Amino acid sequence: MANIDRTESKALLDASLTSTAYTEPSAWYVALIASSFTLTDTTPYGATANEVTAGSGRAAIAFPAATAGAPSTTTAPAVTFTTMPVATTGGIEIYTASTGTARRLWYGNLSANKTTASGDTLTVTVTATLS
Amino acid sequence: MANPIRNCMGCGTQDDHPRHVLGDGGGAGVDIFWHHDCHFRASGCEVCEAVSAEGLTGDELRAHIEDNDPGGAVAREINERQAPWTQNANLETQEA
Repeated sequence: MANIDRTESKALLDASLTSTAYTEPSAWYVALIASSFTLTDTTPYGATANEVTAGSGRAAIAFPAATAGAPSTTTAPAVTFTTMPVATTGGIEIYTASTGTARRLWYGNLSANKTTASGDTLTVTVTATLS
Repeated sequence: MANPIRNCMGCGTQDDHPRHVLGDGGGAGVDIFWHHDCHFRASGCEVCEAVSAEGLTGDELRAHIEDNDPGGAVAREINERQAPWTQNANLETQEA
């Protein structure tokens, strides 16, 4: 996952290069997105028909600090979704809320699409990289 | 639409029963499929323990999952256990 939402990118740029304060997120949730849509920095797909809705909902996630000397997270947290629908999941989006599209932080494609049948449990790992 | 036929890493059986799909197999680069009961026996997976607790298989298990989401609470608890910030969020919810 190496893509930052455009609004979030602006906030990070402003925080880094101006005196504008950055509002730190206080919660992080993983939303699954159907493979039939191309993720972009301007269009959040969460809370639309494009979000693959598991019975357990979006998954809370916590990332470790980035690797010293490298712009990536040190380990890949695993998140689990239960009671999956019949779906092909192609990507994920990170939101600050368990529902809705209020603030999308990051997004990215999975390394390969995940095809699930009804009733499956799905576990994926997530890494974040700046390049 | 027919449910897909997949193997099980635990017992080797190919059938259309629900699976725990481990995306990229924990870094192995390929998805790994387990029957829930096989995954619980092999690894102690708490989610699979909850899903398979009734001893159901096949279509009966799928119906049970679709009706009751038996692993949902456990999955949420595990995800939150690994995300310490949720503890603060829970406290705030309790105080509200």
